[in-house]
Amino acid sequence: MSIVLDHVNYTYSAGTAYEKHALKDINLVIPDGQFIGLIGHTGSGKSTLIQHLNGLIKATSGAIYYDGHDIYDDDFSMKELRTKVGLVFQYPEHQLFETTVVKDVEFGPKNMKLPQLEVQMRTFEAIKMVGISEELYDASPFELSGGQKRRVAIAGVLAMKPEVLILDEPTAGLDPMGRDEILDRIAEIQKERKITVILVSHSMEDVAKYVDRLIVMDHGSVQFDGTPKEVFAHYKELESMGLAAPQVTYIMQSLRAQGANVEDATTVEEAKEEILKAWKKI
Amino acid sequence: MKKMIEAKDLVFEYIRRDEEGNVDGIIRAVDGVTLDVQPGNFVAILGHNGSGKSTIAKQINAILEPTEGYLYVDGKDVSDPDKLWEVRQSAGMVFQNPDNQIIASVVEEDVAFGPENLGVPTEDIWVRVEEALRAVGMLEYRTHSPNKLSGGQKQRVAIAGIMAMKPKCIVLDEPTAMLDPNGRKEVIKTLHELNDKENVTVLLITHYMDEVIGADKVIVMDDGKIVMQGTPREVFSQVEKMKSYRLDVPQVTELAWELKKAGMPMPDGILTVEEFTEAWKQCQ
Ligand SMILES: Nc1ncnc2c1ncn2[C@@H]1O[C@H](COP(=O)(O)OP(=O)(O)OP(=O)(O)O)[C@@H](O)[C@H]1O
Ligand SMILES: Nc1ncnc2c1ncn2[C@@H]1O[C@H](COP(=O)(O)OP(=O)(O)OP(=O)(O)O)[C@@H](O)[C@H]1O
Ligand SMILES: [Mg+2]
Ligand SMILES: [Mg+2]
Repeated sequence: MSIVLDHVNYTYSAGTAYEKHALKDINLVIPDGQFIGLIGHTGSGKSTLIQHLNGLIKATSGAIYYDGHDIYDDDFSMKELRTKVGLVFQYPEHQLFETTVVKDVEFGPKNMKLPQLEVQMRTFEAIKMVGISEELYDASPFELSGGQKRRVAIAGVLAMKPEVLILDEPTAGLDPMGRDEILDRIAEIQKERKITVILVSHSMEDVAKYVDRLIVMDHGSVQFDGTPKEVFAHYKELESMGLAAPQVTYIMQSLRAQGANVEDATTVEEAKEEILKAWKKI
Repeated sequence: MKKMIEAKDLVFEYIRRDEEGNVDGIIRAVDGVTLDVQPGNFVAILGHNGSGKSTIAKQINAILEPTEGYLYVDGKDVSDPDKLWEVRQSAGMVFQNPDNQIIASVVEEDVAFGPENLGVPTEDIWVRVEEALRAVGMLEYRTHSPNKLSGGQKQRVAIAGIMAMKPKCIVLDEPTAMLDPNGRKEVIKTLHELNDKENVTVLLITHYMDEVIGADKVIVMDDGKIVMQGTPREVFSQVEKMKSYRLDVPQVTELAWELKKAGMPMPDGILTVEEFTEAWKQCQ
């Protein structure tokens, strides 16, 4: 399901002393089935941007088209949009509200009026996927550790099987293995179901490893849009925007400065191959 | 010398209740932890989700009382209700979710709240507030509402709030989880500065392996127990063991380890790009 953003602007608290032009003339085409990374300094507008995509925030000016339909048309169903575009919030606390883990995850599919059996299947599938163990099924989501809360919030959105899955810093607070497991699962789902995934992240390592396309925000505007390799080649500019490249990119840079014949790399895998190739030549 | 933190056989159990309030289960979140932290140390705590890191942090801040064992902070028993404020004055805490920490409706008042409570004279408070907000790069937001900040901005304000209290010890629970790479570097740098210049004891809980390479000591937790401790180099030299605890090593360490497995004579426990480059030269 393609999404088109056409000259989108958004201003918080317009007309007050705290007016903030958070999105400035955003033009993006998000085709079906892409795995997209969205990066940018804190306050660059990432969360504001993605909340436009499921209608939580309405653009101050400009248009957004979902599958060719103007989402601000009177006859466009925002409710339906929210089941198609699933959003995992930056703070899981903003998403959890039920009395048990299972009830919390069930909430979305139940709300979609799916048959009871389907609701249950989706719920347990999603809970398993995020690695929540059985003894926590009936625990209150508020009595979990930070990373466990995060997992439950992700499961709640996965259970809705959205066409577009947006995750706002889903791995913040996850332990390293949990981070890899969940991103691996999301990458699998993305391929299996051919859905669009938008991953907002401050981990350059994660986006380099998983996404096909990387969009970089800076002070409310899109500054770069390309493959991770293309984008990270601009690491100097990224640094001046508060970002960086993955650590391996700097390793390759440093080796090249010492005369090594190695190409750029953005993942450990790539770097390993490059270095070994050069080493075996001696 | 008086220890900053002294824990002996520390235990904490949460009691989980069902909707009717009946006891449903007991979770031993901290399970026999013995730990000494000397004043001026920079200690990092790593561990999988649910391994008990935040629970220990809350015990150090006297929010949760030890179920068994004892815990002294700056010589004060955290179980002694009369010492509550003294304990909190010695050890300031930055929570995992900054929303839980924001009190006032204006950023600078929020940062001033802590020192005000400690009875710091008004003139000094504003100097401290300004210093702290500058250190975290949020001075230009001093008159804003904390609720209208982005995630990372809120986290910086929470850190400034603790810095302004100038405690002897700061406990930070994943302070950089929502920060951009530059913000993360800045916060870690600020913590090292406080540690070096003002001898503030730092306890840093994090899931980012590269943030702990400058620590004096790294502690690894697993299911409520301390399972590894040592210098960053000692800990990160054991790549497989770290992975078995659901953790990782910095990318540069991992790359060197992968190359070694593939036959290149790289040493274990490489922690920086510079060290990597040196080791690589030796292989040529
Ligand atoms: N409710 C609000 N009212 C006023 N300004 C806001 C509000 N929410 C966010 N802002 C401002 O809008 C800008 C963009 O915020 P946004 O939350 O989209 O950033 P972000 O890129 O998601 O940052 P982070 O990485 O820290 O989460 C920031 O400067 C922020 O201070
Ligand atoms: N309020 C609570 N009531 C009951 N159990 C709890 C409560 N808070 C935490 N727990 C449980 O105690 C254990 C330790 O939790 P803790 O928050 O200390 O973990 P953590 O190491 O900080 O994890 P994370 O990296 O996810 O933040 C977990 O199994 C968690 O489910
Ligand atoms: Mg955000
Ligand atoms: Mg925690």
